[in-house]
Amino acid sequence: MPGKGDAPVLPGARAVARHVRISPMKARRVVNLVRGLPAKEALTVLQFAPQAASEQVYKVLASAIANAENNERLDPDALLVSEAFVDEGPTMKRFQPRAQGRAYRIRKRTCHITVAVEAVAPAAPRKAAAKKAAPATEAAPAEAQSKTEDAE
Amino acid sequence: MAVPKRKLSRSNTRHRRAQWKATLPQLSPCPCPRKEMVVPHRACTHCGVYKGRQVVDQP
Repeated sequence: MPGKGDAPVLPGARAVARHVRISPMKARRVVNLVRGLPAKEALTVLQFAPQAASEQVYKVLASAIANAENNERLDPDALLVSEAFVDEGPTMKRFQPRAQGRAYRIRKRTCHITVAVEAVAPAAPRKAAAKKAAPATEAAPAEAQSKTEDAE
Repeated sequence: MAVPKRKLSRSNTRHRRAQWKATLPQLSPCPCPRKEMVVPHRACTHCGVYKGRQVVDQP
């Protein structure tokens, strides 16, 4: 992901859902809700938001988080929704017959939903790698403590 | 037939559309140890607890 100007590029990942059969206006209303939120928090918001578009946006965000976790080795709890936007897709045209031989157009709009997540701490990839080692070191003192308690 | 006298400016259109916003759902933590967020006045979707008692059988 290219950074803007001199801003340091934070590690992140993105996901795009293309040709989603929801109008861009309705999708934007939902996407505006989660921009800038912590990724996990945004997921719960989308899970309970009553708008129909929230289900589609939920999937894209979940995919972006999965990309960050599996491809970029980032900690999923340290992610922010850094970028979220909706582009217009191709419109399907349908016709509604009207009185006196007229035909009105029905536009079935589609959209492309893009969500990018970013790790807040630049050291996140190393942190995620060290995470596997960390529980072992944490567990050891805890065990030692319980042993001392048993002794008492 | 009554028709609009003036064209609605893009500015007015945009101002109107900018007010059409979704509100964040009100969420509160479930008392269960997992602390999942739940919608008030609904049973928790994860543990089936409502008002501190089990109302739905756990999956």
